Amino acid sequence: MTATLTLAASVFPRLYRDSVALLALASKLERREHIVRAGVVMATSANLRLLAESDMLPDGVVAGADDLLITVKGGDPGAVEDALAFAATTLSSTDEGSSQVSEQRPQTIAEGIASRPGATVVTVSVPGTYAALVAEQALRRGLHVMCFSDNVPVSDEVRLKALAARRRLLMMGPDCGTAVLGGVPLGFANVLRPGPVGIVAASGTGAQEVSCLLDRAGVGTAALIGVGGRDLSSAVGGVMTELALDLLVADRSAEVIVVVSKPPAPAVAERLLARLGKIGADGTPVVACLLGMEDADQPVAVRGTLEGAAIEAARLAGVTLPPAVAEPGPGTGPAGRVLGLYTGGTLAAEAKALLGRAGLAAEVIDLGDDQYTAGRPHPMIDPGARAARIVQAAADPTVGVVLLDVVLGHGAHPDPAGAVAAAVLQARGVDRPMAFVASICGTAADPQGFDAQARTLREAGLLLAGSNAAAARLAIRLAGGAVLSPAPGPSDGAENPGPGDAEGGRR
Amino acid sequence: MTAGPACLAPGGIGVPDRVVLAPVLARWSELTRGNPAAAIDLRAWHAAATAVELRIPAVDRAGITAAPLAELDRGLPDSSFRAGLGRAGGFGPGERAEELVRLAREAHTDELRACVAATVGAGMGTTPAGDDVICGVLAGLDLLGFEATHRRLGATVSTLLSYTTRSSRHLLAAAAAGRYTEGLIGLAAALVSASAPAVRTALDALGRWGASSGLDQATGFAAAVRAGALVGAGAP
Repeated sequence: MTATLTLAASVFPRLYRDSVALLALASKLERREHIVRAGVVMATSANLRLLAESDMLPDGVVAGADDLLITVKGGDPGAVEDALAFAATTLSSTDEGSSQVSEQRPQTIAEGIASRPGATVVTVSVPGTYAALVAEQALRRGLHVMCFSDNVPVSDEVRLKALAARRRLLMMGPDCGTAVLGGVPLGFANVLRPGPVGIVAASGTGAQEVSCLLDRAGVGTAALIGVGGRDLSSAVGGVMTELALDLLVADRSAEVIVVVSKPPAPAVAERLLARLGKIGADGTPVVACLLGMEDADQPVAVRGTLEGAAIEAARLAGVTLPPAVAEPGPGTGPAGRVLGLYTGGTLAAEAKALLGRAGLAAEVIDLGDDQYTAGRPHPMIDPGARAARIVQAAADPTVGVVLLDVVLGHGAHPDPAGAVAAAVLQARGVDRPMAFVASICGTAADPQGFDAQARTLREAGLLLAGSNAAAARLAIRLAGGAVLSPAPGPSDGAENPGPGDAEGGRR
Repeated sequence: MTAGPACLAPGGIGVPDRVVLAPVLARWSELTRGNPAAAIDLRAWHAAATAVELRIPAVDRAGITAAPLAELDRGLPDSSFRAGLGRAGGFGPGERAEELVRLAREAHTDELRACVAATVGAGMGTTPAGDDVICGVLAGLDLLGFEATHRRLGATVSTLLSYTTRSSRHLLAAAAAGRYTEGLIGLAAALVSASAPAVRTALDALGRWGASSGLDQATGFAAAVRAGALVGAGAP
């Protein structure tokens, strides 16, 4: 078939853009309707020659090595013209954007407070070096602080939390990924229905998973207070967890309280459990979700998985969280080890704990960890790095099962499932059986849409589990491991998954 | 100028983080929109800067062992598909790097010039992939102590600087003079340390330089080192 193609170009003299931006623009142009090809390059002589060799250089283009050249080929002259106009707008809007940001946004806490006199919370996401300074200014002005920044020295955290506690102010963080206060989401946050559960969390995606599982079971959240991953360490001593519990109890809007954390330092744990026991005795039921610990019911309900905590919290709120959160999937899987590629740290930790209990030699990578994020966005924002690793995993013959999380909500990528699905489809090019298992941490009201994201994953052939724990158990079964101790809580129901309820295909 | 963990370029300035860099970038963005009043005066920055000599000390190539070299190869992207103009044409950085090394080592002057001319300025971005590959090749030759080969390639590149963008001209001229980005120097050091994890870490760091610039540099570097390792004693 031969069709007449239109080729046109625009030259932007002495315009420089990072190659990341140019690649993104080129791929956007090529995805437009009726566009066959696009080239977005500096007009060096080598590039002009390459364009000419691939019939992508229109006659009469005059441009030099320091000029940006965009060439577009398409089946329709109007579409080509529109694409070039789109490119021009995109390139100039980057300019406008960057200068406006520097001019209009308040530059200091004082300016910020002046522009919003009624504000009660300050969110801090400046680089760690400056975060303590900014947080202290906010606390001294009587505002609660949600500090998204990490890399803040623990000595600063101790000092700031002591200051905040004296003033009965919340110092959420540093390294606090999520909070929902008065229905307002901060940081990475899901759109949760209002309801009876109050959550205090030293682990961001842990709190997201618990609140999302509850939400999907119809149980809403009164408040979600993040305290930062180190709050229950012996250095910080759980100062903010205690204050958050005080505030939740005083507020009376929470009928059930859940604390989510990795296992605290022993002395801190003892104090925390005593405090929770007291709250329970005073009439507000509590659940301590201490990741990886053995489940217990006395003196306080302790759950070692996020899913277990959600089930118990739902029960206390009078709702049976159906064990359908567990298991789709066939009984045996492809040969090879389990590789977890996670964007959520606590979700990775939960999977690791379950895989460890099953005695499987599995590698679970938290791609949100500092060592993977230095100089680039968190993988919940930019799914590219994980997508590359999914493709790499397929090239590694020792990997049989790839375990994934897909985190939705404000702050997260607009289509995380799409990125995973595209990578999985590419990975399936390998000529051997592999299984890709995923769970979605999100709610129906999240901007990405839970159902649409689930559909995307299923269509790409992923096995979809109803919770992260269920996904881990499915991975264990596929890898031929025994689900040794799947959170033996009475209502978990994970050991007896319904047969034949696989939600996805498998190569 | 680079910020935070992004690697330092020869003659460049590194600042602690992007907050410090933001006002400069805002100015820069105005400049590129043709507002000459938004001049940037970097003299004070230069005065305050600590100079770092970004050079690679030559090592005995017997000191380069197979394991870290294999790790380096494993960490590189498949060179056949990702290069140049993407789907609009291009070349394989790995093959191109090998060709450059061979032509420079065997002193095929005319062919070398033609190959360099086809490589300088080829590819996407402000530092096109071809230039990154050349910088990497020069760094690899430097590490192996292949002075004559380095000089030959460097001299050829120096005559063709006008073929590429301004920032690439700077990096190529520096590489021809034996000065490289911090990322490349880190990779060279990792290779000499004979530690596979160190190579992986260095590659990860280099991988954050531009969209693919760092990995193109690493590809050129690996090709030069590999070629060097294959050459017996008494090579150039």
